[in-house]
Amino acid sequence: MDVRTSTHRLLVRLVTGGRAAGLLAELEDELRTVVAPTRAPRHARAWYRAECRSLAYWYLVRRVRESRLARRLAQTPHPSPRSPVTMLEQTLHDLRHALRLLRLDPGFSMLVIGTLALGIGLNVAVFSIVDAVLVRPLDLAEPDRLVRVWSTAPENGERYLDATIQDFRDFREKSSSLDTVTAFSVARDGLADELGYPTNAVVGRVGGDFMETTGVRARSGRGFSPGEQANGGRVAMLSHRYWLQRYGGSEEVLGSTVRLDEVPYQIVGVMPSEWVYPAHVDVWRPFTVDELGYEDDDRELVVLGRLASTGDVEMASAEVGQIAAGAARQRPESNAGIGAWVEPLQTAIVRHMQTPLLMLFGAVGLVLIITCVNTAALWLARGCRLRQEMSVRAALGATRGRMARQTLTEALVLAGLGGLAAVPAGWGLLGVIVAMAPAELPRGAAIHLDGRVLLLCAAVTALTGLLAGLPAAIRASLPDLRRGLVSGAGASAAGTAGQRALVVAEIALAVVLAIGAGLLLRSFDRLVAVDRGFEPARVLTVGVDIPDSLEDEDPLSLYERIRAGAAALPGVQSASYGRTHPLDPLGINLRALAPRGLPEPVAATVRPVVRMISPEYFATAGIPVLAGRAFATVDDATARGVAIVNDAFARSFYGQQSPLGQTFLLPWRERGPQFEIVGVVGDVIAAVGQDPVPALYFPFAQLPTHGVQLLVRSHGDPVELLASVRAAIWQVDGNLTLDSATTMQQLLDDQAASPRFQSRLVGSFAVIALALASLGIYGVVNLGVARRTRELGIRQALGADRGRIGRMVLSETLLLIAPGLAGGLLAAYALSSLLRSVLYSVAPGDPVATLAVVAVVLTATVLAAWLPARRATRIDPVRALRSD
Amino acid sequence: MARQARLGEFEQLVMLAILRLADDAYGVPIRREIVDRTGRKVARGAVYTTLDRLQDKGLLESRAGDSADGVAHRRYYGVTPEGVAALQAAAATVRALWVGLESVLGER
Repeated sequence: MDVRTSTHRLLVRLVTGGRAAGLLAELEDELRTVVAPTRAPRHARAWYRAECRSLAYWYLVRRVRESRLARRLAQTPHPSPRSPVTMLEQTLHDLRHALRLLRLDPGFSMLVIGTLALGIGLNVAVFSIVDAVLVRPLDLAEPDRLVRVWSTAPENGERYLDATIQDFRDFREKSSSLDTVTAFSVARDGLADELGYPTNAVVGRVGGDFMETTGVRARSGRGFSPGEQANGGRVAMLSHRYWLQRYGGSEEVLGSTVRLDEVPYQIVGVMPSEWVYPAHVDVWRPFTVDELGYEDDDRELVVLGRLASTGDVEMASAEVGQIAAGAARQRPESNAGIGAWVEPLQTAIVRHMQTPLLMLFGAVGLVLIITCVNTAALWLARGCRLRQEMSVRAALGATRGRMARQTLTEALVLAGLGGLAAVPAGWGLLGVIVAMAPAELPRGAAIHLDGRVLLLCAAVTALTGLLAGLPAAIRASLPDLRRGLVSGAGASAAGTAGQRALVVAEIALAVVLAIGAGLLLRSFDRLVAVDRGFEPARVLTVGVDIPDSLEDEDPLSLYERIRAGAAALPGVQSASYGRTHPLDPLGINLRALAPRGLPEPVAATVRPVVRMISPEYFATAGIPVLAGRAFATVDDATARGVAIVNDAFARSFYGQQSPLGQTFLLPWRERGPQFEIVGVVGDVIAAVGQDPVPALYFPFAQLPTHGVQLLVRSHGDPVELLASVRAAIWQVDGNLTLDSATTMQQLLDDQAASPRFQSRLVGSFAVIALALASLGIYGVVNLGVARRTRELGIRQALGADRGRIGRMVLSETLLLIAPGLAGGLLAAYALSSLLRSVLYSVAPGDPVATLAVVAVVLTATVLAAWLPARRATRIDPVRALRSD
Repeated sequence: MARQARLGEFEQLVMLAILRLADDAYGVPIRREIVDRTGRKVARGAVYTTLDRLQDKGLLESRAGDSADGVAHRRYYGVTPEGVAALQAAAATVRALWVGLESVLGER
């Protein structure tokens, strides 16, 4: 039987120095001869370990004594009570005692460690997120020198516009504060590769100097060479996400060919996971400016720059502003009133998440404070319970400082254990939160627990332990402990004053969190209740594209066959198609059609879009026809040109006048340039909070295009039809390219993902906070009843009925709840103006939310007080009088 | 003359146990002797550190065990003349205060 536990032997060796070998040998002798024959191997091992620990402890103490004594030869044999030797010995003793606390009072210890682990763990998790997303610099070369150049249209209040091709050239050539400038634009292309099934992909087309400006280094393979960037080489890089999604992260994809819009590109590398600007790009490839085919005033380029070593953001901002002013003078038709400025790229990436994340950070900080306060209250309550023991100790000569130190040590030890438990707790909570998080959380892949977070955890733990133990330690050092000896538990009322104050504070903080959660929930409710202008329930959509093998087919007849096939499916109410689905914000800019004869829009910022649709589109989508008529099958290529506008378009272009009967020309259309507006339909709101985009609808038959979204309305659950719709499409032709099919409802849910995330998270915090506050109330009332057992017993003996006693206890509890509630409401009102930017259509003082919170808090706290109050009514007077 | 070392109670127990054990006084039996005789729980570490301390004070001396018997790792302790003197002084101190109180406190 080998009992050599190396750690224990190491411990002994460390501490005893020279004598270690002999000591251990003697110990083993005893083990072999005395212990092992008489005890089971497990007990023998435990004995051995315990003896090793004892040896280590004693020699540690001895070493401590010796090191001081050696320096002070003239000292008295017994060190004075305040010498560092004694302090250290006492601290060691306190540490052992605190650990024994776990065994002696497991309920209390587990409660403290549990709540601390939860509170600190939550903070660790949220801090990790905030750190990874907002604080940590981008994992690129010199990330603070990487900037985004924005164009602005100050008269329209637009601050975040993209640039035209000429703007890009200007910034590139004329800027001295920017070393290199690059640009990219994003488009959707058809993609086909050796995996087989064709699909659509989001392609980022990058201009020259992209690699140098961004400092991006390929994670696998290589980046684009300067030659390839300058000449638009036929090479491509996959985004990290797409590489994992479609190719499973396999290195073999490097070197293979992918066809984007029928043009072959060789995959030479994979972007690092850090490069997620923008996040939805699947494939990157170089372009030459000419091949993009943009008009002079198309603002489609995202311009990035790298600051020169002599420049900074302010200088660059001023300089590009001047360049833009020059451009406005030289090219008024595209740049009139256009300015420019520069922002660090990291800011641009995370800006939309900044306020929500900081709000979450604040909320979770509140939870930590509540946890601290709760723990402090628990320690105070324990101090009250142990009054008698502490009084005895004081009588035996323990100084007040000593007892305060002991309490503080215990608090720090439990806090330390809570902090240790907080690490796995925080790791788990981080996983849960990230799983709940919306997909648009920037840099989400980089979120993890790291050294800085753990350091923060340790600091927070120490601080929490200190704060939580301090009130109890102060109490322990007060001089009125003699009373504890005399009357046992019947101590002064002031003993719980501290505890009561803490509980009031707890309630106030919990109310603040609850109000925040209530506002967010209301806001989220309002958000999803907004009428979008169509009927999203039971509608699914799938993108269909025609590959080049079917080039010769008439797209119109092809799509019609697809539509008919889908409409014939069982469970389908109606089917239609259009170039985009109702929630797609993109559309062809009206100006691309070069219409003539349309009036000037009321506001210059109006950017109307054009949509091509089949006649059944409005019916399938549930868009109401407000005036005139919808398209019909007679509106085909041979008939007169017709168009339908939405309400926003009518108001923007025709004001109060009816647009019906108005005509305009598309001069390039061979079959007849004239179009008449025959109907007005309702607006569709693509994104909540944005004004509806003016739209001009054409019949697909008259203005056919490539690539449509099939729209299908079902009788029942649309998800069940996804597979059969896909099958119906492929039945028409197996080579058709399909985009991912989804339901309108899913798209709406995705849009609301961020507010849903926030409201859920803060809601969870509020629930935790309320639970802790209720626990606090329970503790205080419980303690109060226990303390006043005698008094309550006397009351009952004197004839007070139980109901009265119960009500008395409850009304005293209300004295705690009321100020907490009031204070919390005031604080919440003051703080909630900070939330304004994340709230939709909800004011900080929202009455519904406030009332709901008050009701919930009152219910929870009264319930928490009810149990001990009931105990008060059940007190047996005889036993109460005999107690103490 | 060297300052007379004052013996703590436990130190006295250890030295008395050594005297009782004569030639067989090393760590394990010393502890066992105290436990058996006084009925107290004695930590091993307390015994060993006390032995070291007493040796440092010159009240004990020690030698290594006989390798022939396979006990080279043991340290056998003996009380020095200074140690004996210290014990006697300690006993005298207590006796001086006990005088006259035997009847009051009685034998147990």
